[in-house]
Amino acid sequence: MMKNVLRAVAAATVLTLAAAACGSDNPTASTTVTMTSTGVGHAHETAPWPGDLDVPDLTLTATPHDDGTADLRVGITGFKLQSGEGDVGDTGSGHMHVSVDGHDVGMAFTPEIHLDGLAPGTHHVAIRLSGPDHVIYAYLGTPLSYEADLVIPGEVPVPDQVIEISVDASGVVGGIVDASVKLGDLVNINITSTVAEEVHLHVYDVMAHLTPGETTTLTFTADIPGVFEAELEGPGIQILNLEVK
Amino acid sequence: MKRRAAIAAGLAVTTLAAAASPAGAHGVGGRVDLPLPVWQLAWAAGFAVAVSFVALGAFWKTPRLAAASVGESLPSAVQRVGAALDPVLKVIGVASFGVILVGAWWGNTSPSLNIAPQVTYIWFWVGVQFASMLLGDFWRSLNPFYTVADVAASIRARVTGKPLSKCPESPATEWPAVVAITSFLWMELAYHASSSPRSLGLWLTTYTAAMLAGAAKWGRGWVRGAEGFGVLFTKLSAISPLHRDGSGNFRFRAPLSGLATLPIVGGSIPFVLVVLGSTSFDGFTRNSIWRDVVTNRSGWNLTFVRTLGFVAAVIVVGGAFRIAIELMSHITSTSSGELIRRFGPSLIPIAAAYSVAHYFSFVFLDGQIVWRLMSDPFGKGWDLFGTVGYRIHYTAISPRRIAWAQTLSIAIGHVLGVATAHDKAVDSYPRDVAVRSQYPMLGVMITYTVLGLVILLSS
Repeated sequence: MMKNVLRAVAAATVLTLAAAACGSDNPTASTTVTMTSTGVGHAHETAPWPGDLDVPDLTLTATPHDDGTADLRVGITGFKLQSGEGDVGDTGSGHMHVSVDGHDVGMAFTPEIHLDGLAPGTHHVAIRLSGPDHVIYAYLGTPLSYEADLVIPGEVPVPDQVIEISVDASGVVGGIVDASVKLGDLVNINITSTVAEEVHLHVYDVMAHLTPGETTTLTFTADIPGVFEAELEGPGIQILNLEVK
Repeated sequence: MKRRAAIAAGLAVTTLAAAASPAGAHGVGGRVDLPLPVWQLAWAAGFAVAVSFVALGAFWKTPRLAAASVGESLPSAVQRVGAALDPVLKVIGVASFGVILVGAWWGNTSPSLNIAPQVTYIWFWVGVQFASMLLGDFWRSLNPFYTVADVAASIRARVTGKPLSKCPESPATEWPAVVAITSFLWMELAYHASSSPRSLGLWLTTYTAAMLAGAAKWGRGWVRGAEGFGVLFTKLSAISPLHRDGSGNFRFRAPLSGLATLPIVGGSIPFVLVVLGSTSFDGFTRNSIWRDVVTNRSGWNLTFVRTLGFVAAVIVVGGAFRIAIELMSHITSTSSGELIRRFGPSLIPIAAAYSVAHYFSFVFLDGQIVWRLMSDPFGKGWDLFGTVGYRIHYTAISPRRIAWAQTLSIAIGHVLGVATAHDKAVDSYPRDVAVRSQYPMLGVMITYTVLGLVILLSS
């Protein structure tokens, strides 16, 4: 996977991220900011953001490296980062839960976050703000989730299998897609959607947001044998039956 | 009483409707086994048919199982350890149940971060089935419903000054258990939010309330015929070589022999057929035909269609048995009821085999999640034992081994079922009638075995 090195285009990129409720968009050359109106990943518990406080603002400086690592620096206002875990402390304080491509990768109590083990290509980073008790804050029912795409330079490997799925308001177009891949294959699932939804491939735990009118790609190495399903998380509709053997 | 039950049921419906969570087969877990190769299916089916015909002529000529079911008393050291374990198991049972209830009502609403649905559907529901087949009826000690009902009864006896009623050895009827297990299986296999911790909490609470209310009204003996899990685990434990006799002695006996003396009362065999039908249905939901049926269905729409599928599977499985019984009744001039009582227990090894074949990998792969959840049982971000970083080793058992475990369990279950029925036949009838009586029984068993294998083949 980590073939040799193409030139590092590791110029620092500044991203401005905004909470769903606000609404600003600031894409730059190599990274894009995805606005979201739904929570990310599994339905974590949420607690309401204190009504008398402004919704926090978050800026993220991401420095991707060609060795599969990235340094994130979070600038945050309206939220107090504190290192303690446990019971709910001061309202409007806590720490960050970080996920990459739908996987929780850890928690951050300081504004500097180092990520590693990233394959070349685009990765979806999400940062959610939680209280010291790990309960995610939500504003008007929407989790305080800040998301961005991060591009790791390098040669993006060619997938062994590409699965195409089309999704509309009624669910999956043309019935649940049956697909079979070989163990070890690099698989891309391209999902074209007319609706905003969340998609989740179970066990592999690959997740993504679907945006109306766009094609979203899930990329993973099929390293677990068995039969798996991918579904639209909101309505709980199965869209894919994937056999890995 | 009736009115209160109606209110509770109304409450159940509202709360369940509000809890949205991902749909998934058999409660939790997202991985199912690969389809069996066709040659393996053919091998197993051929083996089963061959054994069935050999059984007619070559098996033993006089009944053996009933005599063997007494067994031999185990050494006194084992008796002491077993007796000492009894109260320990009772405490563990009640404490574990408490943890599950707390997790279900108070823990994280995401099923994968909450120990309650994972332990209930994997370790408890399937794991205890497997363990009962090997170790005997240890659930009798662990059962929190028995323990609570017993404690409540002894408190009541002390308060009222009346002597504590003796708990009967076997229940008068198991029809309440049929209702109980059907409601659990419906929740697991048909209800769309089966993995939701809150739905599970509501179900467990309602179930517990029903058990305790029944115990209060009809005595704690009633619980022995109503607590569906206890009824199932007791039946499966009849396969095990370990058992405990009426006076509490631990004994060792020929595996399977317990089936010859297993008490069969009203509801006992329908109970087994419901469980067998449910496993068949769960297997069938992996079929592409079923995927076409459920495409783009979700919520109560999905629940409704799955409910129909579950009912249909039970009717097919139960109907096949009923037809065999009617044919046998014609051949032997014995009443159907008597034949069900005699030959029904031979379905138990088949139900056990179906369970092993379908859920073997579920227990040993998906079941690993409990190591992680022990450290953070309620999804609150704890790390009690330092295991929150544990990841499931989905490759711990190769697909080839899983396929063989499935094939062998179906084949062995078939042989044990045939042997049990044969033993009962030579016990009941003169030789020629015994042989003829077994044609319909073999027919239904071959049907079940081929059905079980075809389901494992489908994808």
